[in-house]
Order: sequence, then C-alpha cells, then structure tokens
Amino acid sequence: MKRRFLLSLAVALFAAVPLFAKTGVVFIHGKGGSNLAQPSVARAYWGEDMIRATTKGFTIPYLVVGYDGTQYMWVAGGQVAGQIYNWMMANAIDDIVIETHSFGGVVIRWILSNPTYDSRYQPIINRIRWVNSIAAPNKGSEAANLAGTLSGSWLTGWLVDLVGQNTDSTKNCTTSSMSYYNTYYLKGTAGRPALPRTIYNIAGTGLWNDFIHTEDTGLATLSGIAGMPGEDDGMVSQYSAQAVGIVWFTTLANHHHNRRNDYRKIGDSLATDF
Amino acid sequence: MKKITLLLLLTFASSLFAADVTGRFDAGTPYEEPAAHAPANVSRMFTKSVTEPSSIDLYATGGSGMIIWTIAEKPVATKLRTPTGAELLPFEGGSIERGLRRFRENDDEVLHVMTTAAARYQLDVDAPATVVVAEPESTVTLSTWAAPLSRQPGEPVTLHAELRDGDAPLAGAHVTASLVNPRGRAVQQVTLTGNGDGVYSATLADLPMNIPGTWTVRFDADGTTPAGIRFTRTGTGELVAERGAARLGKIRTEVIGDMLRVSLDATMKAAGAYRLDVIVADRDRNALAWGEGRRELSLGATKLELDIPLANLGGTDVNDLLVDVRLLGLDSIGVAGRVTR
Repeated sequence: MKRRFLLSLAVALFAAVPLFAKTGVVFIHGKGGSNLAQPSVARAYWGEDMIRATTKGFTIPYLVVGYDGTQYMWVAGGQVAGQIYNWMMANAIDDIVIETHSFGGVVIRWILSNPTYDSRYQPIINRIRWVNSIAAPNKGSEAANLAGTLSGSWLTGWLVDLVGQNTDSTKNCTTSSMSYYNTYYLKGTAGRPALPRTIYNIAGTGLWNDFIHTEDTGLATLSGIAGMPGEDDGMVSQYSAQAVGIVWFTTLANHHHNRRNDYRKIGDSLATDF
Repeated sequence: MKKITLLLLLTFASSLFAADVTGRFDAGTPYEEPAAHAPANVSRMFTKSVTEPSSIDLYATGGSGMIIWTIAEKPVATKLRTPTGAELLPFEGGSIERGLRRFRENDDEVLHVMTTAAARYQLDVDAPATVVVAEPESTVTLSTWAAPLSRQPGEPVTLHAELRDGDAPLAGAHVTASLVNPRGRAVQQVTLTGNGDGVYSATLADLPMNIPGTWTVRFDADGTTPAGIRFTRTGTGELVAERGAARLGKIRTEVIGDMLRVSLDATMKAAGAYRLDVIVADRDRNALAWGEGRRELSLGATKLELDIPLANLGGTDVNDLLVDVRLLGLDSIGVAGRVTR
C-alpha cells in the first residue's frame, strides 16, 4: 500500500499523468454467461456498492464493460475494446484505471499484450494508468480443468454454473491453455516481455465468508475437488492470481465476494487510486 | 474542415497503421524456451458415470475428508454406505457428530465424509449421474500431462502419468488415457505402460484425427498401494494441435544502421494475419530484447523481417546472439511456426 502511495505521489509530482488529465475507471468482469453482454447483468456482477465505493460515490467517470462471458479472450477483447474506445473518445478520458475480476484480468492482458491485433488497442493502452486485477487466473484455474475432465458428462447445475459450462472462456482458463497462451501470446509472466502497463494483483485466499450463501459451500467444494495448490478463493489459486504484476494485497474474500464490496471492502481499497 | 480531418488522421496514424513494437527485457531475465508441456495437473479425485440407477463403489485411501458431488440431469436421490455399515439415507442431512453431511442445491448434491477410512464406500444413485469424488488431503496423487504443448503436424504425442503415495512411487496400476478431440468427442483410448517407478506413459506416432485445436486427454488410474489400499484417480492434460500454417526457413541477421534486422524465408500454407515475434538473448541465455509486428501474409513463399534496435542489445556482439522467431496466427489462434538460431 505504501509503495502504491509513493508511486501515486511520484506520478502526480512528475506529471506522468498530464496536468489536466481526465481520469476514469473501467470495470471488466469475469467469465460467465452470454447475458453478461447486457449492461444490467454486467453491473449486477459487481454490485452497486462496489461501483459506488470505487468511484467515490460515482464522482469519478466510469464504465462498466459488458461482454459475452462465454468467449475466448480475443473475442472478449474486441467487445471490451470497442466499449472502452467509444467511451474514452466520447468523454475525453485520457487517464484510465482498469479494475478487473477473474477472467477480466486475462482479457485486459490480451489487449495489453497484443497492441497490433486491433487498431483500438494501442490508443487504449496509451491512456491506461494501471490495472488492478482481482483474482485473475493468470496461470489458469484448476477448477476450469474440471470442465475438461468431465467433458461429455458436463450437465447443468449449481456447481457447474459456478465453474462455468465448458465454454470457450472456461477452456481459455484451464492451466494447460493458460500455459500455452502465456508462452506465446501473453506478456507479463516470468521470462516473457513485460506488459506495457503495470498490473497490481489482488488474490483471494478465503473460502468460508458467509455460511448463508450457497456460493460459499460451492466454492469450498470446488476448492477440494479441483485440487488447488496452496491458498485459493474457491476458483483461482493464489499462485495463479499473483503470477503477473505486483502484489498489492491479498483478501480473505472468496471468488464470489472479492468482486463485491461486502465481505471485505475491496472497493474502498480500489478508491484510494483517486 | 479538411485541416481538422488531416490533423485527426495524423494524430491517429500510428493506430491506423500499427507499427512493429520492440522492447528490452529487464536485466537478469533468463531466456525461456517454450515449455514442452503444461505443468502437471495433480489429482486427488476420480469420476464415475452411470447410465442407470446403480450402486457405485468409492475406494477411499483414508486419512482425508471425502467430497462426493453427484451431477445429474434431474434431482437424484443418493444413499451413502460407509465401511462400518452406517448409512446416510436420501432424506437425511447428516451432522458433524455423525461425520457425514449432505448439501443440496437445485439438482446438485454434495456429500461430505469428514474423515475417511481406507476402505470401500458405496453410493446408491436412483438415476443416471456422474459422480465426482475427491479426497483433498489424500497422499495418493496422479500427476498428468500431454506433450508437446504446441504440436505441429507429424510430431509424436506423449501421454504421461505419475502415481505417488507421498514420495513413494505407485507401480502396478492400470492407467488409461482417453483422447478427446477439439469438438469434444472421445476418439481413442490408450493404455499407458508403467516402467516400475510410478511413471506410466504412451507415445503415439500421430493423433487419431487431423483436427487442429485443443485436444483434451482424460487419464484414469486404478491400483493398489503396497499397503493393500485400493485407489482410483482421474486426471487431465491438454495439447494444442497446430494447423501447420507455415514452414519457416533459417534465420539471418544483419546490422542496418542502428538496427539488427532479423529475416527469414517462409512458406505459408494458410493465408491471413499473423504476429511475427522475435526474442533475442545472449550466449549465456539472458533475454535481451524482443520485437513483434503484425503481418498480412499470402499463400506461398514470402520473406519475414523485423528490426530490433541495437540499443536494446546492451552492446552484445551481434554475431553471438540466440535468436528465437515465432509466427503466431491472429485470424486463427495458434503457432504457425518457430525457429531458433
């Protein structure tokens, strides 16, 4: 926290952010259903209090991106880039802090790692101050591997909904797939070129947050079944979330809660950027 | 108006005509070859599927909790019988005191055995279902991978499994692998051969079908520990079958002004958009510099080149460099080719 404060101070003092920069916040959600492309569903993903807290009571211009949560990162990246590009141009935003949860952290890495893939990527990258990445499966998720293991018998249901059906976005997040993408397409892991913007990561290390929520039972179950090494938040292991960028902090909020401002006040922490 | 248009065009020219991007690695970054395979998946679980009401044997290795997740298309009633003869009946929720608990949400059901004995449990299900059983603290593990992670057409495929009880290898198990093609269909089953030290493997000269994309391998192992404890484990692995979109020739380098020009001939078998990646390291395998650029490539012979600023090489003799060139598909994601010098 202290290092980030000092960095913010240095940025302010040396005017790396233009003197009259117009700052904005972009929220990029994780994988899920195709209905996450709908603005209301994307907004509900984060919860109103997370958006309120992060934007200091909605005083910072913000964009809640919605994209089809079943798609590969390069498909999602196009949908995300289109919305960010139009929003920043229409509102003259030239200093963007990106907040991502889960697969959203992989999608923004795709954009940052492939500046020549899409003509909108580089102008967006130029305006990004940094990225706060919550529980991103940077080295994949053992929970996503389950979908491959159960391929052919993959039905619907409570836990399946938590993991996500064996969609392209779930396939994107297996540990093998992320190993492949980290080797060839994505930057930021050990031995690869650095990303053009800094990522601050936040890993979840707790499972049982709220015994009333069935999601907590489900995440604890997944953690046990999937065989996640070390600490995890029920969906993403700490080692994976911390494989890219600088560790900002860890949270006991599980994967259900660490995109919200409820069990732990993560939105309050994100708001310290402004 | 025209002036404004021109100014706008000039302002965004770089984004309209994306130039190559170059950079240098942080000092001390080791050059890393692409991994031959993904990190091993370590499993303490197994799955079984039944197509009709059945009694399923669940072999526990003991000393761990056990999670039993039943997935079905409609609500399913399950009865668990423990090695002592105790039963958790379908309508019972269980309790911590009994060491057996049941959680139900919609069509899914999870049973939790708080501490297992090393023995057989039995689960009765009254409908077709898939049962996923995990012992999260068990010392019996199955580690699996498939190689090569990026497989060009014609390359052999290695399927690898390793069984251990803690540090001790588990020999004599029956290990199979089922290959699932990128369309999700299981198309071949292979029996792996053990070499006596807990490692089981099989090498395939080719994949059973020429379908590019991610192939999933499901591994199933059944065996008995030296202490006579029966176990079952299910693991997974993946590899990417590449399209063979390009054949890359030898890398050439020359200094032109303040740039190191890296060039090579290529024969394209699939036209489209590609990303040309160049990574440069010194003889001690310290990564120095990188460059990348988008290329629109037609079928047939073509020349690829990319310039790396000499300033990014830190004064290293240009005749003493390790150069790694990769051509990556952008229209269709996949490695078209890779060569090093």
